[in-house]
Amino acid sequence: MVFGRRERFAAGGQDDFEREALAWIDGLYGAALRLTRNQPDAEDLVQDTYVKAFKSAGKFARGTNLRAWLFTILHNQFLNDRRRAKANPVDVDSDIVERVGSDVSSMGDTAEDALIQRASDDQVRAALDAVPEAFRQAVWLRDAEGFSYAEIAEMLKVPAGTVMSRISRGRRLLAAQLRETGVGTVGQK
Amino acid sequence: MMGMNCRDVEAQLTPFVDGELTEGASSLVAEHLAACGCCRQMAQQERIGRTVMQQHAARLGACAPASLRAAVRRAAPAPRGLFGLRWVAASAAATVAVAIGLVLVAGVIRPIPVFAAQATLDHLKCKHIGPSEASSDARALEVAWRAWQGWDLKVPTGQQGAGLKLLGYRRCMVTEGRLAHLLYQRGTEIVSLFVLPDGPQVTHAELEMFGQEEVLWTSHGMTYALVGRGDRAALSAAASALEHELKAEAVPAGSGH
Repeated sequence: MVFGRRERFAAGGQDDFEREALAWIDGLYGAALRLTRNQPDAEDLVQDTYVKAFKSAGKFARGTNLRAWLFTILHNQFLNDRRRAKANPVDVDSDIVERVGSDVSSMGDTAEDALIQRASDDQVRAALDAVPEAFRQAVWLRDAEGFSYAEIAEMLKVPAGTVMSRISRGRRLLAAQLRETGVGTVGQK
Repeated sequence: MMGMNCRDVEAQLTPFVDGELTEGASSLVAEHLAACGCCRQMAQQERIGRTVMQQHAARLGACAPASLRAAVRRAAPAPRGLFGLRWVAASAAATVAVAIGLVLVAGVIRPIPVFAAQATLDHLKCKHIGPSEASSDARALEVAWRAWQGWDLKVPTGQQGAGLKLLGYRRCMVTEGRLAHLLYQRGTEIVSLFVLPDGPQVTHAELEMFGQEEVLWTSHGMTYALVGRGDRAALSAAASALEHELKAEAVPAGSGH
């Protein structure tokens, strides 16, 4: 692998690789911020992601999706960090999941829905950060980064069906969270 | 009458809302939603979440700070020299580092040269990135490390004759945090002190590796490696001072306040 990399980049491609990789730093940082929910950890995560990417550049097959590859490294690095911190690697709060999955009757009316869609950035950020990690991540990769279900499935090493289910629940949780924090009830009822 | 049940629909809700189903599949879902209030409500809530994300995602994302960009750039391998030789060296080093990391993590074998090589490579890789936990307060770093990694790390201040200024610590990626990496300033140079619990036992060793000087010793069951560029005698003296400082504070400091 390493030697393949050397051949591929022997004609000056190393600089290209770095330049291309660095072009995705904002997206990686945005994803890291949503994963870690704080700036120092996000910066650390992105740094470690690039260190790992530069180190294992030989494993990257040119012509394939560099951006998806970098996001995969970011995800793996985040899981490693979580494992090291002895935290649950997939933070799935089953209570809230069950509630969103089943208790749809409490979902709001049309007027509330319209208000929720006019929430401020800060309200949305807070609501999204309150969504359990696995769902928050799937929603972010899909709706902020525009990855396909298949790309996300490969990144997270889960079946595409699981990805879709996480996105679905994540989006519904986001709406529920906005409603719960009162965004949809201001001036209503 | 209904072609799909609620479970089938839930599984297809996301591609339905995203408009990624074929026309036929999409109309089957739509047909079910028209007849089923529960699923309709679910689709509506997902749509809201999706709309909110689409409206806010661009502003919720963030530009990477300039300091982060600079740190990442510094982490890039050195520019390739003639015939790509430096890159070959970097690739080989990376391979060695990964192999060594595996050896250390697996705990199969921990010979001194492997640890020494690991330490030197990590020093070269990380010294420009700077500490992940920056502080000149040795006790605070010990407490933070204990909370983070779960084992007692003794952090010498470097001020007791070693002539080092404590900058902070980094975790070492290839060893999954089992190897602590402390960073110190020595004049204009950054030197690294690596600490490995249960490492290879070594009374005292000095060697040169990848153009760096390195001094190794074991104290209280921990293996230490001081790595830096330049004068070996000066580094050796600094290592002795650190060793002395570590011995002097034999009472564990990381457990209390």
